[in-house]
Amino acid sequence: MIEVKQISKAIKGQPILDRISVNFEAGYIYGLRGKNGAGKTMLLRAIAGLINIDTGKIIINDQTLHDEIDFPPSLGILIENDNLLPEHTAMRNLQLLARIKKVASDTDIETAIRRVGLDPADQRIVKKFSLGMRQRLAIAQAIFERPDLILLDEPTNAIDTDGVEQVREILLAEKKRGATIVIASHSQEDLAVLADVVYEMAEGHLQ
Amino acid sequence: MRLWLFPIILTTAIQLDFINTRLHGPYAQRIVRQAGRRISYWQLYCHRILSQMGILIFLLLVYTLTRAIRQFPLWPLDLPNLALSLMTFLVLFSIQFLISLYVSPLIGYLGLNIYVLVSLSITGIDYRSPWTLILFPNALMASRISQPGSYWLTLGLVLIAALAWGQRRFEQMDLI
Repeated sequence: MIEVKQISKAIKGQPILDRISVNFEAGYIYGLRGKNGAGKTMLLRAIAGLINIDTGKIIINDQTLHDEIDFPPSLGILIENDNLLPEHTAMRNLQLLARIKKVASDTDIETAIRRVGLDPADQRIVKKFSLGMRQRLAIAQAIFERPDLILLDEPTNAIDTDGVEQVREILLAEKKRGATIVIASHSQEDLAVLADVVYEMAEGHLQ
Repeated sequence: MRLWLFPIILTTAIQLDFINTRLHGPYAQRIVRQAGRRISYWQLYCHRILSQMGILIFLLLVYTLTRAIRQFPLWPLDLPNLALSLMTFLVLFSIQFLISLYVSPLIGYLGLNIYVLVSLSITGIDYRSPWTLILFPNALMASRISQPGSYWLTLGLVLIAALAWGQRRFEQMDLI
């Protein structure tokens, strides 16, 4: 359970998040919709612990972010860019990340890569991947450790129609597993198909 | 331009954009998987400082080898002065690391190098005055220093302050 309580954040005097309160429960998919600059990505970054909030609290499973914990203990993210190491293969990218928490085996990594429609044995480095392939791998990166909380910013960007269907199936399976999923997206269709609850964001407010 | 200016200019330019690249893009994935920001801070610091000090020591070895080839005497090594110079470099690199957590790396690079060059260019310094410690980059020219003890103490305190300040800054900064 993630409790966001009256959080605000301003950058250079400009309010980015304005007294946002919302709860995200396990086993649900939440959608954030809004124009560019509405604060969707910033809200995801705040929940991920990447930005410090000016006021308010974010409580993750009874632990306060920035107080008791710096980051959500079980987190998968895809925020803005794909966050991949371009000089390594898909498999190697995930193996390097897996070394940090040591909760995912090579088999888990291979399974995640296959689930997004890529080949774990592909020896091409990520730099040679198409945009769609990179996006698929970024999704694999967010789910391969079976995190409790998955934060995704525009997850179906640059992915073809078949791929979009695959991503939706994956997210629904992750939801069924019990993960809390928060998706920021411009795609009305994605949110309509996936999200149990959709919030509208505008000028740092959540509606 | 004196020979010792080159290592300062060169080694402070190594991976100038290090902090920016490490806090964004692929490394954000690494950071959120760590148990806390403190671990990421020390990993970043060690990675950055080890590469800078490593290259500096490599340059020192090349310099020593060049002296040997030219048949200049190598022995005895002036170890106390050498150690003080290396410690000064460590402090300068640590200050550069701290500045990078606040401003763009180019501004930090220029500011630090200007400070070092001005400090080293001032002549007629009374090395017995405690105020000369503000010009601590003088310790790079360790042979000029008459009271190395106070410089060691100053450098040690500046290093600890820079590291603690950097850690506090890193724990509070936005990783955007």
